[in-house]
Amino acid sequence: MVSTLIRHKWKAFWRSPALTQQLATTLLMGFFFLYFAAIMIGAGAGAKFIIEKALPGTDVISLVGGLTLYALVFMLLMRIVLQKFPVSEIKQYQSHNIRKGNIVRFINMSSLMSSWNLMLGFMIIPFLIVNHTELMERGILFNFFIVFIGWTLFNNYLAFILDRYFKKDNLIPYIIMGCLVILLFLDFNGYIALIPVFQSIFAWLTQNIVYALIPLVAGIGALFFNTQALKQNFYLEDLITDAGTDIVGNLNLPFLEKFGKAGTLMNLELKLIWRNKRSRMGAIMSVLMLAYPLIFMGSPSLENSGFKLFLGLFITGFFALNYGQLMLSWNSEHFDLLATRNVKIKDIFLAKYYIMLFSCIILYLFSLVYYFLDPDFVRINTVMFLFNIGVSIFLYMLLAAFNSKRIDLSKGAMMNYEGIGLAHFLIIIPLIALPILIRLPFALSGHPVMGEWMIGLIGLIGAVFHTPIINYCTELFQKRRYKILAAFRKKT
Amino acid sequence: MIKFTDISKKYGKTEVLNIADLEIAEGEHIGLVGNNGAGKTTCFSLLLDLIEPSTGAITSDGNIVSKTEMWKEYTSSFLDESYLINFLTPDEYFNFVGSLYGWNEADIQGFLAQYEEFFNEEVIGKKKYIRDLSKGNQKKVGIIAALMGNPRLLVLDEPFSNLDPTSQIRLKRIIKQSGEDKTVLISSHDINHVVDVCDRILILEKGVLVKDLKNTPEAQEEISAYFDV
Repeated sequence: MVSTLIRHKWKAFWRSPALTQQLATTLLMGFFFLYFAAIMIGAGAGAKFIIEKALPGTDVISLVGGLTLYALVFMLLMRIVLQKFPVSEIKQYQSHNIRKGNIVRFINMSSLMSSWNLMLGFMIIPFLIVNHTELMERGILFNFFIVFIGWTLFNNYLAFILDRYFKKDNLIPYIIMGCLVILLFLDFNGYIALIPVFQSIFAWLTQNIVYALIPLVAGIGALFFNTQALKQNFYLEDLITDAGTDIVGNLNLPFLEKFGKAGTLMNLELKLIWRNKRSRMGAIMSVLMLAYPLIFMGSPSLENSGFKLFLGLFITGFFALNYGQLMLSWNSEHFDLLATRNVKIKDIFLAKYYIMLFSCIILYLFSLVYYFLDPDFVRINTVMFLFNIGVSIFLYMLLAAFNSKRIDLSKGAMMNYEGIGLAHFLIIIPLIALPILIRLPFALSGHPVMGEWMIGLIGLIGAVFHTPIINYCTELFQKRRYKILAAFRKKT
Repeated sequence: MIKFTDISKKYGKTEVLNIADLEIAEGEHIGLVGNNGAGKTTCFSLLLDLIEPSTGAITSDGNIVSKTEMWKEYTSSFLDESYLINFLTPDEYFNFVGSLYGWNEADIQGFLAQYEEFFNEEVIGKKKYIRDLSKGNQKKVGIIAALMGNPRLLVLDEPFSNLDPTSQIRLKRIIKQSGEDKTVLISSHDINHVVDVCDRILILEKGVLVKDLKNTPEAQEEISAYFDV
């Protein structure tokens, strides 16, 4: 019976409209999958060389062991916040003649088929292969593997259990994540010494097979506990979200009402962004992306100003990129309401514009901290911020007039490319190429800094003329509205 | 108030709606009746500019609906669940719709107080998102939100389906009361509901208007005879 249900899930995946309806989307999904898989494999296989280069003389295996505890707690929190657990799949089988235990077993198994676990495997297995000789010398290759399997299992089911209690709108996971980042920073800079403690715990776990089985036993325990909890809460009413606990989502920003109807819509957008996993992941990622340039600190690639421009573009505009690309698709489920009530389409575009503008301003202000690492970043981030608010945002708005795909907000965030088409991929090209092209003539004549200010100036001009540009996008949308509305209504 | 001129809607080669001429006067309560696939929803979607007519035009207050957005100020409607915002609680949803008409919190509370009985204590003040409500309660939220902003034109598609018998009776009362100063368009499979609240009844079949009757006892017999095949 369980195998039949698994087969259903398999069919649901291969028959999903994203995979079958459009060749471009299918190819794109395949590309993204391979891209992420390549990154994970690269990280797993390359860990040894990266660590040896960055911190010469360190024991790679021991350090990785010490870091895994941080990684696992962080992963656990990310899963709670972002992973979609398949509880709602109970519904379609609940009323049929299938035993409860089988349905619960199926749900437990299908939660393992999450891309989180797959990606983890992509990282660990190459690591084991690359480092197999050293691991064999120490006689811990197999133990190492077992510990990781156990931890993944434990992580998966613990997140499943905790997901019920944290009810996605809780702030605690984010606060703990923030604390972890601070702890890790302090740890690396020698203010505290947790990594050595973790290293010895890890060494102890891997020293013999009995200890190595501890995480696996814990994982099976979590699986067992989750089974019991699912059986007891089998009825879906128990799984309904309590809207009362949502602190951030319940925020209403009264000052936004000053923007009139656009302000009302902005308050709606903020709720949309925070209360749905996929959009919230974009918001969280844009904060995490602020740390992206740190990876390259001290590396020669930062001497290349073109690369710095790219970093500036991403850290100040990541939210706008993520949110803006799907622009109106975010509202596809309730677009008929917006299209027929007392709202002008222009107000909707204006609300989106302000949200993206404010996100760029906030991220830009944070990005100024890079002054302490490299004063050049202040200039770079300023010009790229202007470029984002004067050029990038409007490219997304133009794209919105042509993008007509429905997205299902109830779906999870990982590997979810619903609503993404080839155009979303191609738009990255002008975003990266334009600044470089604008700067090129100045750089060739020996005034690269002036070229950078030129990028900022062009952005500023775009920002000043935002009203006519938004009007143009609105008109473009109006011309194509029947097509877009029809596509938004088409359920996948 | 509303005028359909040479309206037709085709999907590929199949014509799903063809209304050569239809006028609706201010204050009329129209019931649109027909079997599945008769074109009721298509008719409303065209009126609300959600789909593009293949030929012809619809005017509202003299303005072509596909050319201006003016009609949105005095028109409100509830066709289906794509009018609901799933991730909001009903209270947040009413606040959102109300604020599109410049209503403040007190206006909205005062408005909702009239419908306490209709909501049967299952909707207002509950910490539940709309997506977690039952189909019937979702429908109630959509219909009451459509009454917000004091529209002059109200369009409801199948408002009685998915409601329990008591709620159906209450809804009829609501439509009669709040519809006094409005032009109302309602569609239904169920002739009895329409007869109770409308003063003019249109029967659609396969996209064509086959009857256009004043609501009188004779007309009701004619309608029953028409569907009794």
